[in-house]
Amino acid sequence: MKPGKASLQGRLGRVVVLAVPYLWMGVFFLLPFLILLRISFSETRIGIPPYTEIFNWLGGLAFEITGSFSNYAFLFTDSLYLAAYTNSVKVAAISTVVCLLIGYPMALGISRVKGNLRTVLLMLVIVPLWTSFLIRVYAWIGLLKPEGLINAMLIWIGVIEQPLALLHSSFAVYLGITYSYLPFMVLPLYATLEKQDHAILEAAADLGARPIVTFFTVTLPLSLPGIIAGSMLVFIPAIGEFVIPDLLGGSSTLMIGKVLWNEFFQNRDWPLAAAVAILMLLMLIVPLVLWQRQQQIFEDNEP
Amino acid sequence: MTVSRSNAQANEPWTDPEAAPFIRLENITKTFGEDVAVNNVSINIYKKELFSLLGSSGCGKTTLLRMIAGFEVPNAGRILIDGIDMTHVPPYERPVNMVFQSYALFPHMTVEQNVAFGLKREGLPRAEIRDRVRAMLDMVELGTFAGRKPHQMSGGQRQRVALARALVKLPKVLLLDEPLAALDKKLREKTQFELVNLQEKIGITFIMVTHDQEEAMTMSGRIGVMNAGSMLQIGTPSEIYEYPTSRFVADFIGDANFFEGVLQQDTEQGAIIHCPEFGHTIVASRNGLAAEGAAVGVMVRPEKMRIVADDAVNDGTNLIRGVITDIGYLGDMSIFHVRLESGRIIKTSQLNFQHTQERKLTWDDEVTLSWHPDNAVVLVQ
Repeated sequence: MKPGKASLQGRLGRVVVLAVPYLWMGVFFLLPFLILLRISFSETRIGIPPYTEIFNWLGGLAFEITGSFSNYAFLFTDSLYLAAYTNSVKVAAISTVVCLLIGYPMALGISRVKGNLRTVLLMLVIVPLWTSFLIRVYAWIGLLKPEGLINAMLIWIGVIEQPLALLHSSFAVYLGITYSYLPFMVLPLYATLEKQDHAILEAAADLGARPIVTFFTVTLPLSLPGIIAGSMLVFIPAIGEFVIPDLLGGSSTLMIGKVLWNEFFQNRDWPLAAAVAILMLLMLIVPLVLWQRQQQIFEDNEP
Repeated sequence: MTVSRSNAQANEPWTDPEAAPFIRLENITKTFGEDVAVNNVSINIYKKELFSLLGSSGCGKTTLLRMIAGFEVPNAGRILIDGIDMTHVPPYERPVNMVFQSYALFPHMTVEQNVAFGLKREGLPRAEIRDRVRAMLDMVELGTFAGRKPHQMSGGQRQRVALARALVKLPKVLLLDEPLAALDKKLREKTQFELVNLQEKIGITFIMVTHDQEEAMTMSGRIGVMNAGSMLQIGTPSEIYEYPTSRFVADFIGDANFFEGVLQQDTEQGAIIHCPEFGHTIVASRNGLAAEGAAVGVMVRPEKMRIVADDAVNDGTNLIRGVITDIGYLGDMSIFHVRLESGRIIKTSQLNFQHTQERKLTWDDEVTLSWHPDNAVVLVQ
C-alpha cells in the first residue's frame, strides 16, 4: 500500500469517526440550544408559534434583528425566579451531600466484598433503574401519603396518633431526589474505589496508620475523582429536576424546573421560559467546567 | 557467589546455641479454605541477619512474610519479635515495615510525603520528621527528587522510595517481598549489592522473599528453602548448595545430577553406594543419617565433575563412561551433555581455561567422568 493513500484513508476514517459524535452534538444539542436562544430574545404573542420572529427579512441581503433582553431583565426584577434558582441550587446541593454520605459507605462496602456477593450488591443498586423513574416516584407517594404505608406503620406501632404530613413537603423532595439519584453517586464511586490497589492500604497499615487514618489519608483522597463525578451526576440533573418537586413537593417547594414548566405550559410564555432555561444552562456550565478541569488534573497525575 | 560479608565468620549466631533469636516463628500453620499455604514452619532469625525465603510461586513464602507483617493471622503457631508475642497484633502496631513487590507507593503524595507518612503516624515533631526524611532520601540518593510524584520516577527510583519509606521508621525488622523482581537485570544486580551494603550499614534485620535462587545466594546470610508450604532446609548459601538435604533443594538451587543406589557402607572415609545403573559402587561424602542397606540418591553438581577424553589416564575414583551428545558454549564455561551407557543423559560443566582450538573434547567423543567423593552428596529424601 502506498503511504500517501494509506494516510489519506486514515485521515478520512478519522474524520468520519469524529464526525459522528460532533454531528450528534450539533443536531441534538447545539441546534436546539440555538433555537432556544433565539426564542429567549423574542417576545410573546398569541398565535402559533407563540413568540415573535426576531429575524425579519427586508428583501435582498438586508436583515432586521428585533430581539431584546427584556426577558432576561424580567428574571432579575421578579424575585420569584431568583428564589427558584437559589432554592434549586440549595436542594440539589443538600441532596448531593446526602447522596454522598449514603453512597460512599455503600460503594466502599461493595468494593470490599468478594465474588458473588459483590455482583448481587451491584445489581441491587442498578435494578431499580430498570423500572420507570416516574413509577418509582409515584411509589413514594403511596409510601408517604397520610394513609400511606409509613404513616400506617407508625400509627400501628403507636409512635404517632395523627398521620404526619410527609407528602408535599421539602422533606419529600429531598427524599425523592436522594433516592432517585443515589445509583448515579454509587456507581462512579464504586468504579474508583474498586480499582484502588489493595497493597496501598496495606502499606498504610504497615507504616502505622489505623484503619480510620488510612481511610482519610489514602482511600478518601484517592477516590476524589469518583466523588466529583458522582456529585456532578447528582447535582446537575437535580438542579433542573421537575417531576420530583411536582409530584412530591408542596406548593412552597419552588424549583427552577417547575417554574420552567409553568412558564411553558401554563403561561405559554415561551420567550421567558427560554430565558429561564438558558440561564439555568449557564449556571450548570460553571460546575461542569470545574469538573472537567479537575478530571484533567487527575489524568495528568496518573502514570 | 556470596557477597563478601566483612565479618561473616564471626557473625553466625545460628551456630551459637547460646544466642537468642530475634524473630521466632514457632510451628506456624496457615490455611486458606482447603489449601494449606504454610505447614508447620518454624524459623529462628537473629539480629542483623539477612534471611531469605526462597521457593517457587505458591510455596507459601509470601504468606509467611505477610504473617510476620501482620496482614494474615496464622491458624496455629506463634510469631515472636524481640521476645514479644506478635501473633495477633495488627500491622499498624508492629515494629516491622515492608517493601512491597509493587512498591505500593501512595500515588497522590510526593516522594517526601510518602517517606514522611510513617513518621507522621508516630506523631513526631515536624522538624524531626523533616530531618529524618531528608537524611533517608539522601541515603538512597533521592535527595533531589523529594518533590516528585511516584509516577514521575523510574522503577529503580520507586524501589528506593519504597525502601526509604520503610527504613525511615527504623523498624526492628524490614520485610522485602520480591524487592527486585520489577527491575531489569543490570539494575537488579547493582541493587542487590546496594541492599546488602545498606543492610550492613544500618544493622536492621532483613527478611526477604524471592523466587530467584541467584538473588537469594548473592544477598543472604541464610536461606530458607520452601516448597508446598513446608520449610525444607535452612542454611547458608554454601550449605544449601553444597549440602542439600533433599532432592528438591538440590534440584531447585543450581543444576544437579542424581544417581540411584543402595547404601552399602557409611564410614568416615565416605559413603559407599552400589549403583545398579553402573553395576559397580560409587563413593560419596559421609551422610551419617541413612541406615546401611537403605535406598538413597547421590547428587553431584555438574561443575564438580571432571570430564576427560576416554583414552586419557584417569586414576580417580567414581569413573563413569559416556558419549558427548551436546556442548553448550557459554564463553566462560562450557556445558557438556553426556549420554551414559544406561542411555541417561547427565550434565557436566568445565571452565574454559584455554582457547577454543586447544580444547579437545567434541561431539560424539567417548569420555570418562569422575568426581571426588567429597563432592557427592547422599540424599535420603
